[in-house]
Amino acid sequence: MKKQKELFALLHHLKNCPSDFLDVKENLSKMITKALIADLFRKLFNDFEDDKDLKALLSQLNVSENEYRAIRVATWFFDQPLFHDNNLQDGITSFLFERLPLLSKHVKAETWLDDEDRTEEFVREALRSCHVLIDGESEDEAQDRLDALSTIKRLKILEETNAPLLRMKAIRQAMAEKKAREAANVYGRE
Amino acid sequence: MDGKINVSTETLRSQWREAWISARSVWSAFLMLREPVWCLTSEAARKEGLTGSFAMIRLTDHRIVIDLEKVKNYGVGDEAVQVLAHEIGHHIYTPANLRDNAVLLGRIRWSLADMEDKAAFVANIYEDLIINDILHRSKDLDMAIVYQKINKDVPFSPLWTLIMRTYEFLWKLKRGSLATDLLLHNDKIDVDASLMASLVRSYAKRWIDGGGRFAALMYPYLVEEEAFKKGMASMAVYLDTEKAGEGGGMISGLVELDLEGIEGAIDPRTEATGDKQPKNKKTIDISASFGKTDRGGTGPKQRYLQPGVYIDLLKQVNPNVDEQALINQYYREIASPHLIRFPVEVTKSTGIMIPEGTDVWESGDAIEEIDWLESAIASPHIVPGYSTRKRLYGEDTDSDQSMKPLDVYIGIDCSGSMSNPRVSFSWPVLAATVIGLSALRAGAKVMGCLSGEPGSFMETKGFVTKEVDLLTILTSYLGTGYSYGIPRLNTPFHAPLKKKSHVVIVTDDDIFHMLNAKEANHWAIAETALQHAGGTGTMVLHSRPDWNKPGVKLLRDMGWHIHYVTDESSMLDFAREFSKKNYHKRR
Amino acid sequence: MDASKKPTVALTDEERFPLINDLFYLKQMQQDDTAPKFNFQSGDRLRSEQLAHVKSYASKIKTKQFWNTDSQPSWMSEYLNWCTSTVPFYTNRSNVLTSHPTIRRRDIHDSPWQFVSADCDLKDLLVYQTSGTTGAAMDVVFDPISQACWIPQLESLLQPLGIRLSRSNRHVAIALICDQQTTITYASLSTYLDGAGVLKINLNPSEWKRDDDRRDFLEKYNPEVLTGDPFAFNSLLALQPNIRPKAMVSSAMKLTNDLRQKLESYFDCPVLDIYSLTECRMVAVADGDGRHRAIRPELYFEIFHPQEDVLMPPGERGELVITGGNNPFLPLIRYRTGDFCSMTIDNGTPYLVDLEARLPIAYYRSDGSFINNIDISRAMTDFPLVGFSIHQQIDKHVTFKGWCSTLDERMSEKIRATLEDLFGENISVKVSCTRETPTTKPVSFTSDIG
Repeated sequence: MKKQKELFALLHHLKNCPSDFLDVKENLSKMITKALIADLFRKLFNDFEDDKDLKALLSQLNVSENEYRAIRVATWFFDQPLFHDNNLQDGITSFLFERLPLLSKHVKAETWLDDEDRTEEFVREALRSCHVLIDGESEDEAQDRLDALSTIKRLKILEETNAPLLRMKAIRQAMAEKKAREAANVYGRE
Repeated sequence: MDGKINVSTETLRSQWREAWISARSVWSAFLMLREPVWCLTSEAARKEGLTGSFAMIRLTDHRIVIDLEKVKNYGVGDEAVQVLAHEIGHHIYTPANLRDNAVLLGRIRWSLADMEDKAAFVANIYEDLIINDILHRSKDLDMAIVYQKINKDVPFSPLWTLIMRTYEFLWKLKRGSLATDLLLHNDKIDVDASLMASLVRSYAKRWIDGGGRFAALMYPYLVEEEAFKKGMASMAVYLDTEKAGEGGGMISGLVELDLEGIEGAIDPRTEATGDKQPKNKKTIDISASFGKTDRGGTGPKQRYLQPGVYIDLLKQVNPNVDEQALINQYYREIASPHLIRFPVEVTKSTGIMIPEGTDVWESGDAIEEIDWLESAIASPHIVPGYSTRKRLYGEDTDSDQSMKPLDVYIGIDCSGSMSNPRVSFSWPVLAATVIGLSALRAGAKVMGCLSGEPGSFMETKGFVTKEVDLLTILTSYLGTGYSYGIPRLNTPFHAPLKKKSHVVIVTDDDIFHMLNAKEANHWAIAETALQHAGGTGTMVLHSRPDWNKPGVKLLRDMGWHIHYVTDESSMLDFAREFSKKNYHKRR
Repeated sequence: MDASKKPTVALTDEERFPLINDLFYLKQMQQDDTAPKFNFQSGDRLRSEQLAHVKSYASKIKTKQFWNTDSQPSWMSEYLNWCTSTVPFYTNRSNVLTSHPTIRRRDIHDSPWQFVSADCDLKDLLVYQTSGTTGAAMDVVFDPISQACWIPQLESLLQPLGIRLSRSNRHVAIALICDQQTTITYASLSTYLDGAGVLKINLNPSEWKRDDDRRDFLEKYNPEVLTGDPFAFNSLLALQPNIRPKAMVSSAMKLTNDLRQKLESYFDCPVLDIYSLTECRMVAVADGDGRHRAIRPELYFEIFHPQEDVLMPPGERGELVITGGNNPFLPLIRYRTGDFCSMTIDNGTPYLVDLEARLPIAYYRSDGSFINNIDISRAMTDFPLVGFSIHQQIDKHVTFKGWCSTLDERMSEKIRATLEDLFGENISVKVSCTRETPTTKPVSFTSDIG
């Protein structure tokens, strides 16, 4: 089967993630997530059984429910021919255990599937962790597109710009109201 | 030369006529919409009211106007289906009708503090995004190419970059494929564009509800006048709904506060950061009140818009509307729940309002005013605004005076201490409207007088029977002097009236200064006026019973009733009581 | 669109004068039989902690401690630190004055909110819309404190002459005299002066019930100090009222020696000519030798090259640039005033030398009556103009040129109608509007007459 790296195909695949991956009884969540990761790695990589690092990671895995849900979505996403490549093991590992938990602090797991921009952000974050480029895209273009979608970057910019913006609106509003109301604006002015 | 241009635009016209059929079927094969007005020259388009752009819609007559000369100049002759489908979208999707158009503008205005005049511009951009996204993604029309072609002639601005970036986000296009001026790109615009794109997707079906949020996103791109003007210049060729409501007549039911609109005046930027609050505590306090302070409800139960806000909104919907008609409508709508009911003995009794035939019911009128029977008689097919009829009422001219209720004279203090009823809601004006309209309904005549003296006054030409004459006086403003001018009573009451009249004067404590003034014997005027009027006389005093006791006693001895109000809203209670007592079920 | 944007009466007397209980005198002025047809209400809105600030400001400016030739005022570094840490426009700028660029009227005009300190409580925000006599119309933002400090500034002017405003709630302390076609007028009180009356009146006869009322009213209330522009004082002189002001203070335009002498001899009191700016109010007072004396130690002056951001050598002429002020809603750092002079410091007091103040321009109707240029500015605020110039020829005909960013064919026609209304019969008015950027000052008044 052809290793597709076409954006719409990847988005399509992710959006088709069955709801079973999200909806798991909470007391089983951790166990099922671990099992899915192990399954995925077994499918993708030949000598997974001997990987002590991964076993250690799995045994230490302890994150929030939202992160378990996101990781399960990721196991669905990576389960396609494109990622059948031993060279990608480090990238996928770092996405599952580092990058995705970080992103999950700001994004609800179901949003990765429901919101078009978040779906694309997920796909691009995963590809970037794996150093894989979409067909016909340069590294700069990929980076630019990811930057534009990045939740973390967006929040950082908003946190810097929201307060001044709100203050500006409040001042303008106060000015408008005072102009419309009597104001003491003329007191003592010729 | 002219001939040459005409030939090619004529060819365009026949191509676009064919495209019209395909464009309609994009939305629905069964769509009934009149063929566009095809203008072969920009001169002809101007006569149709189309100036900046090459296309526009008119909600008033459900038409689309196309300037084929401009179509040719912008090189979009081949994009007929996209352009026409877009214009159809405005007619059947957003804004679709005068009322939704007005409600959307109202929602947008909540988010545009001090820039409400830019609401129509913002609405047009929003509606375009909604329609184009539907056409591009659900109807498989290549809308991007239209922008690519026209943008060649469009001066870019931060605002336009934001809109074009939003389309790039919506349609997953590479950076710069529509937002071609890369020098204008920055992180802030990217963030705003991405928020705007998800807003457009989320609110595509309930677009009215997204108006406030959309306007909040646009806000920083509109504040600086120079930047805004550049944005206007970019958008000029695309503006196709700005004048959609022009000439649309009065739209009723917009006086009441749109609570959902106020709640929707939220900035998606703050929503996106969730509960995390910016560090500066003071900023938070202010933001919490943004969009709500002082612009909240007014009048009875604080349910209504401020009159100034109402006038601005309706004038934006339809710049041709008469301001006086609006302010009359404003107080009429607020007064209407408090009026006496229409007399029921319509056919037999005298001196009451009777049906006087019918007139066209237009889409802006209250739905309950439709006379379905008359409408059905007029035409078997009900087409709103065409075959719908409403009933008109007029006064029965039978002049058996002994059967008629007393007339009423309403004098209002309109001195410097009163606020302008066009700018802020006025209880005295509402009270006068309730009494006046109730009296008219009951078949009485009404004389209204505003007085702020020394200085000026305005009054109706004697006792009148038309609502509009009365309301036009009551809702005016003087703001001069310090009180109601007692000499005004001489005008109607200089001699005994043949037909008796009640006298109601709404004023405050300063009236005693007026009564005591040296120029003339105002006490005597007050006394004879009441005798000549022949009905009851009431001074509604915004004052306290323990003030000016001697003056009050003098007035009472003359036969005046003194009704104290300490808080203005109780004037409405007085007006209701008065109307009920004097005008309800009178025969 | 403008219906709700013009100032309207919207407060109660309690909101106008939170600290004054006895409003008898206010009512008396308003309801006097000879009173003008007051068209507005106004109050200083001072609450007790704000009044305390005004009083402390009054004692501070009395010290008259300015700066010396080679030093900066003692408040400078604290002021700059405060500006750079709380005022958006100045954040990320240096806290050393010499590294600041100059700013212009345009900066304030474009985004007044950028100048509001984060320390400001917006409940106290007030707005003054200028008519744009000397530039495009602009919104100036301030608070009740900086507004009320106008009276201590006035006192500080009068103090060297041994004149003091009395404190009592049964007299008029200050009357602002105007002679304009239309302007806001009111009777008010000053909390700082213990409830003394403050009047703003327009001498235009159409604003009064009877012509004689103008004189009778002024004589009855006999204000202690009169302020106004030379036009208004000229009309006042013609009225010949029998009043005894302690001083007259002229502003807004240059007061000619001729008029000053006439006023001084008729009213038998000193007539002061002050230099003031909308952005920071009173700045300096003329002392007769072609010099203006500084009156506020919290305003620091520098002289800059008119075109380049370069300080002029000491004593040389250039554009006056101001830093400081007492308005937290509009703190100024190196603000170009648009006015020209040189500066010397005598005995620790700065003087502005040969200040090029804005000359009064008289425009005439065909019957010889004059039109105040403020009336023209005010009428023009109704149009979306970037700037304009207006010129009256010797034959009284008028040429008007407007600059606007969007051209509307009907606008020229409307402007012409407005001007024809102002100038009356038999004066032709030519109007042209362009989209070019203005080459000269954004607003210019010129005349070949007189």
